[in-house]
Amino acid sequence: MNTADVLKKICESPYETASDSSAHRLITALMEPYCERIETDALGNIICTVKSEGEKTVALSAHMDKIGLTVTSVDKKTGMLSLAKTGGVDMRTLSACRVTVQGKKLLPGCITSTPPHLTTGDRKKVTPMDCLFCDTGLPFEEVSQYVSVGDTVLYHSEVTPLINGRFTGAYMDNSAGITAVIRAVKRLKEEGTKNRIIAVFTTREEIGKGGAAAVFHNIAPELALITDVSFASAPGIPSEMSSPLSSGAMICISPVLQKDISYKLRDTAEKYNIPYTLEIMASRTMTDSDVAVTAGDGILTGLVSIPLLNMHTPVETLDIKDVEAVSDILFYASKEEI
Amino acid sequence: MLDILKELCNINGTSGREDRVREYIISRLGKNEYFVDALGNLIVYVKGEKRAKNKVMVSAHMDEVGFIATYITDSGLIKFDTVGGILPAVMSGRKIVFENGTAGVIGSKPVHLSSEDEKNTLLSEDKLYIDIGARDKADAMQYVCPGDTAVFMPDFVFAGDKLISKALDDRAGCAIMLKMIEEGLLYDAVFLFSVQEEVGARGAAAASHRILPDYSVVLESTTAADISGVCDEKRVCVQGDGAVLSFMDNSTLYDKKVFDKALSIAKERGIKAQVKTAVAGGNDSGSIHKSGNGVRCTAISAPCRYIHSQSNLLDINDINACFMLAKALTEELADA
Repeated sequence: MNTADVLKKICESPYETASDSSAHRLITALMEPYCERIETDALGNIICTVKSEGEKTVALSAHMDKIGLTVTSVDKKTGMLSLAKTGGVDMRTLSACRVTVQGKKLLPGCITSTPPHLTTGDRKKVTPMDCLFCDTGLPFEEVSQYVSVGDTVLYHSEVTPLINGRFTGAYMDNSAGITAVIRAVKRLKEEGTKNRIIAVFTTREEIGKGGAAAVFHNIAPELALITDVSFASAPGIPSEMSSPLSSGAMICISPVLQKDISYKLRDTAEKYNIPYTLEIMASRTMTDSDVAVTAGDGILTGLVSIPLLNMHTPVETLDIKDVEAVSDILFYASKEEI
Repeated sequence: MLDILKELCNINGTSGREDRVREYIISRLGKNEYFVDALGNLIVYVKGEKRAKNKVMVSAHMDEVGFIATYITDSGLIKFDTVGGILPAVMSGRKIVFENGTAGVIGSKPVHLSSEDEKNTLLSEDKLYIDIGARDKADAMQYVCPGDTAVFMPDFVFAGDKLISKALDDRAGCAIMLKMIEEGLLYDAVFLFSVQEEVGARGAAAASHRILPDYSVVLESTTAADISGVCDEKRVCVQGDGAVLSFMDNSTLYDKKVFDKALSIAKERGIKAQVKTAVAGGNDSGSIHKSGNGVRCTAISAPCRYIHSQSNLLDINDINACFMLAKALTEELADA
């Protein structure tokens, strides 16, 4: 499988619960050939021991949870599902959006949209969550056999290739980061490293970062390299807060991260001719790095991100070469450079 | 019929670009005589077992709502307008596909960087753009030029007794007509697969002027608001309650005698039917009833949720009811 194939599989895998899901099982299966041991902790984090002996312990990390919606009730009359947000779903993209309900079995469906004759007021106002429902086409008696309150509803949007090696679909955030870690681990296994290597895939990043807090407290590596997605440039997005798509990895410099690590990541990119830009943030990065760095007794932490358009929508868009650039930096940095 | 409907939905054809839909339908017409007029309307003359006393025209439209590229920016983004009525609520975050197969997306500024006001405001087509992944204008122009059209990316799925897809409005009508033609008729009838319904029922005007029918039976999809949070009297029609008959909408006052006849046929033959409980929407009847010297019109519609979006949702049982009622009514009108 090439990078895009792996990315597509992870993006399209269901994420039923934080403790166990099809995504957990897929990622475990993809990692198995490169690992001595794979464990799942109390919060559902996957901890993969790639190499148990070595000079320094380096952890490569990407979050595996997905934003979406949670079923809060089932309408006895219509069979439609009331919903609450799980993470920062873009409300502007929900009406008539195709979704999959992650119940006892996967049910196709869509979110309702207000019929034209009832949009009497401002047609440009976003419909609030309490006026949107999930429609599976099934009556109450049938839908209640498969769906319970608390079940997850995810965007249904398969990965579609665009031109120039770009791809679009739901859940590039953070399937792209997972793909970059898996690819880096594969290279570490093939080419060897002097370091002890652990790969972690965290839960709950989109809802408070509890997964990373627990797992980094547990494994306490000497270096944590986190990868996530960040903002690609587009109309309306300030250029100081974004990097162009296809410009390579975004290496984060922030007061909450140790600057030496950021600069060493930059030096790695320079040395191996890996395309990159610097992403400057004045405080928290809004990624797992924020909690990794303060976990346990404190951990040296670096953040390398993949530029992404339309974040938290069903059409998250990226350049596969940017995923590979991030993966290359993770590989060289964990192999020996730092 | 459902296999044909799925194939029809997966074909892309906005108003004025119905060519591929028409080619598909023609490929399924067998030996029936047909004619394509200057606008692209497909008119099929179907011979029945007997000659008809009255000329009955059965119609459905081939076009679907979509998008048309209007301008390519220096950075390679495509400005567009909508073809037919698409509300801002259902545009952002959708995949689209151009006639030549080029895929694109209608993007959205990340919520993380949006103000509270921006997060709660839908953008209309003048503020949105389509991104096909182009590096710049010259790159984009290799794939898309102003004037090219696009539709919601096909994604047909069965959901219990229901279907979710783009373009069920009005490929369901087209599929019903193909089934009527395939099964054969008791009396001669004319079948019109019309163009440009979504931009003002323009195709049917010319076709009806040519055909000069005595009666018109339009097969359509109409808004069903039978969703959670909507009170009973605002639902317009209800899925599972069968074919929808209209007494009036925004474009037509329907012929009362035909309306009554359709209701009584449904009752006699045990076909599920319901009356549309709102004066809303419109269809090809708006052009047809005032064509030539005037035409007695009726509309038989399938109740459709989330019409004019990526996710039209229809009930298979309602489609079947529309088929049975359309067939029975066509026969009765031909011999009335």
